[in-house]
Amino acid sequence: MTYTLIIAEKPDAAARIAEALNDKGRPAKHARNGVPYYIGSRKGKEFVACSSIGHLYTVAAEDAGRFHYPVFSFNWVPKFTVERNSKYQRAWIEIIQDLGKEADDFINACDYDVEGSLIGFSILKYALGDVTRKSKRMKYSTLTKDELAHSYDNPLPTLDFSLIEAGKTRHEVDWLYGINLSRAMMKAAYTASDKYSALSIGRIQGPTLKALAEREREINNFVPIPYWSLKCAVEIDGKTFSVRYDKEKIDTRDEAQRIVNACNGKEGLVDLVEAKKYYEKPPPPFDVGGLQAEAYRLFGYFPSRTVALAERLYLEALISYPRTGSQKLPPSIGYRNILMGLGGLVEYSDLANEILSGRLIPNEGTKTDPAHPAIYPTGNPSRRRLSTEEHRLYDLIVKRFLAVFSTPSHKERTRARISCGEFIFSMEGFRILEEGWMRSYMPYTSAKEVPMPALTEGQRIIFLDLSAHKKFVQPPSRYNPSSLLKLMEEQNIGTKATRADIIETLMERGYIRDERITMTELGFGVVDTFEEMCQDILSVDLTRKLEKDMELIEEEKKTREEVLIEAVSFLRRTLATIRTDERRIGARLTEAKRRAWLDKVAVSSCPSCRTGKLLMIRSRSTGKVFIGCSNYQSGTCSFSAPLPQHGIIRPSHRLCHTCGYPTVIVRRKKSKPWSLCINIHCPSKEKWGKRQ
Amino acid sequence: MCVVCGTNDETEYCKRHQSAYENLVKTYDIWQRATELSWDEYLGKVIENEFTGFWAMEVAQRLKTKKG
Repeated sequence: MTYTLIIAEKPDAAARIAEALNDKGRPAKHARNGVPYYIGSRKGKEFVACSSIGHLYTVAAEDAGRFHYPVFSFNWVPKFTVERNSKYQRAWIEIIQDLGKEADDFINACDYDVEGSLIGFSILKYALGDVTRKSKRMKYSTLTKDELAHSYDNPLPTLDFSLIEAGKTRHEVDWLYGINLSRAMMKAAYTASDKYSALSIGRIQGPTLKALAEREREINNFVPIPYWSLKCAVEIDGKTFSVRYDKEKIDTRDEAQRIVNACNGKEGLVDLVEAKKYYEKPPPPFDVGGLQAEAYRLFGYFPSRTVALAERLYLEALISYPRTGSQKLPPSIGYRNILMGLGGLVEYSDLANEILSGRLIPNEGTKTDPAHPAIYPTGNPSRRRLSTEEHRLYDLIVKRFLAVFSTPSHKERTRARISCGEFIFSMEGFRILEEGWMRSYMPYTSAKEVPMPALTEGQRIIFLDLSAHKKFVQPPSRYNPSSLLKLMEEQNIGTKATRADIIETLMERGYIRDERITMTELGFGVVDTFEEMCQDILSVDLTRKLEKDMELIEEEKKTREEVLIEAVSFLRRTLATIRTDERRIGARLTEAKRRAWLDKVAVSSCPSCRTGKLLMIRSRSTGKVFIGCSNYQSGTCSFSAPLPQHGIIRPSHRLCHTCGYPTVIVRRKKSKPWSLCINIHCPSKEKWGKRQ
Repeated sequence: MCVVCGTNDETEYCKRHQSAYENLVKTYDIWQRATELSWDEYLGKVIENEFTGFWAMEVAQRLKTKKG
């Protein structure tokens, strides 16, 4: 008997699809070699739902060799044949091949985006003997029963070939850039040092690294500039309020003092009082970038973690497809049904029912995505207890959805201008008149009310306590995963699906470190090398052009072959430049590796002999970490200092304020990083261990 | 060779320390207008300041030691 073979992207999705489509209850679950598949029937015809497990096929070079480049010939091959950690995928391909033998209809039911289309396509083409021309495509945004059933009964008649072509091209171009440039770098480093180094650069890594390097240079070159600000209190009706000087930063001490002398204890005149009432619209619904930024701001989740959690909620049919770039909620998602579903959940029933009683018009953002709407809750109850992390993210998504349908909040800002001779001060107040959407989005939004006394124009008030405070302009802040993701989005570097992974890759490679992202010496080495040799690799223009090309392929205005030829000709030129200067580039990269190592272990110059460097060393005999002088080997210095044996220790490159010895930063789990002076006799440690 | 980090360069400072040096010189004018400090006092203040960047700090330390 023949059947329809449904290919889902993940096992959980296959289970959901099979359950949604089966006419009578739960479908029969089968498993072979740990690979699950489901057999059921719909409207009298049998179906088998199986799944992929991510990409089962990948691009690989036709010939092997670690350092061989350029490599321009490639094939699509099973991933398990080229990646050591993908061996388990062999069983998946074999079982899909088996299941395909008796199927007469094929449906790609992977997530509806470029990656999903490509995953399904490669299985239909390479594992099932190229049945792509007779395959259909399911298109859905949630794994809810109704939407899945509708999408199965009304599939797209063919695969989305233009999307697949764009996806294939992206993989192939990225592979060409990645393998050739990375091999060229590794070969150069090997030529110069005779040592193997894992180095990589790619079309997206390059511009991201460059942006990080520019920020790091600004921070490292930064010299703080002093300024003065005024702190001022006034008394009105027996209560003390603070007022602000018109200019936030006063450039010189003399000027600040002149204002203090002129106004302190004097009477000021209220010469203007103005109040402005305004409405603030609700925030737009979440696209993936917005969700990642908000989850980082509120819970500190890294972007990749947020996507992974959202993916789990999607597979549970609790939210819609999360990898979307849209901030639109079309009426076709069924606002009323979703809100009624949420109304059935104790936590959200009051708000959902209140919103249901009004007009259902969402406040949408400007971003669009042709494949999916913005992220929204399905309104389905959860079948299992969500983990704390999942629940937090789900709650955030639900409350944002409710906020989107809520009324604007009504606020009032009041400002009074107070003059004292030639100097102008102001006092500001803020009130929330109606909470509106803020009530739906609690506790994820807050606005502190600032009380302001009733002032009238012509009223006189006395400046009680006016003083000048010296401050410094601060360096630009470091990027964190969320702000870096935002930058990548603004500059169109990478795609919504890959940005979070790129940040992880840069961390893994040792180019960047820490949550407040810091560029390492190795990262600088790579950027410096390419800035000198081939700036195009670091340029956002190159990656923007490719994104544009992908769009043109999707619109069938450009072909995959044209894009590949352009990439190859660019790489030929670049690789030729690298090859002619291989030794010099290698020497620079090797030096960068050495510096990166020193950056990790070198604390400072030795305060004892002044010629050696203090290094963090692990004793071979005891396994303990301590600080020793690099001149110890030559017998000229025996300086050493103990270090804590737990946590991560890094040189701080700062000196102790008390004794002038170098300090290190100690990081331990569940505690803030702290600075430790390496001098065991430092006066700052005198009180250590003593009871007060 | 860079006098701060020993990088093989033909100039007194390597590229990164040169730009830190230029920044130190440029910012001194602003400091001087604000607080009338001598160059040496300025370097001391910059070294003590928690917001000073690492490369600027290295150059300031080098300049201060050289003078001392």
